[in-house]
Amino acid sequence: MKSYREKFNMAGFLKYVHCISTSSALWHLFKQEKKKAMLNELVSKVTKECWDKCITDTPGSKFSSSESACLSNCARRYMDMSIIIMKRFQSMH
Amino acid sequence: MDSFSSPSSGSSPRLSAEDFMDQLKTQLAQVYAEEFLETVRGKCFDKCITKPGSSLSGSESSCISRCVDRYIEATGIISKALFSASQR
Repeated sequence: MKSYREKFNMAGFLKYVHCISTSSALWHLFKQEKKKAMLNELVSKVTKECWDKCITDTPGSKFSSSESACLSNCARRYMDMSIIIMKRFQSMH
Repeated sequence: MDSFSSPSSGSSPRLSAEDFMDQLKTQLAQVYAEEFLETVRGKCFDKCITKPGSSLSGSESSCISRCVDRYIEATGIISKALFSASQR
């Protein structure tokens, strides 16, 4: 599973970072792409996990209502969990 | 607008900032697509090819088609659940 940094590297662009940083407009656009890559990665990771948890039978020609509810809930519970983990970790200082 | 060339070689053509961003987006999109395909292959192989035979059966083929459609749909559901502010 490739991180967004690896994706940028695979796109062959990490070597340009020091050039880009000299242009603030371009740097802003570059950071936007970086943010999009991080979000893409989050969706990808959560979809993989939630697919495994929620789609237990052979895939049908449409999702049952329990399957689609499970996927939706799974994503939200994942975010809830992330917040708890972060708070817990921060409280350990 | 700004232009620059690769830091490692002075002989490569100069890119405008606009071309640079276009190339970045195109190449990132390609990397995302390849990774998505890799994921779908893995998931659908797990779900649909449980006992590999000497050829792909009709039910295995249709399972794979449905699986691809469902996985794409699942990605949409997750995306919406993660980023829709109106959801609680």
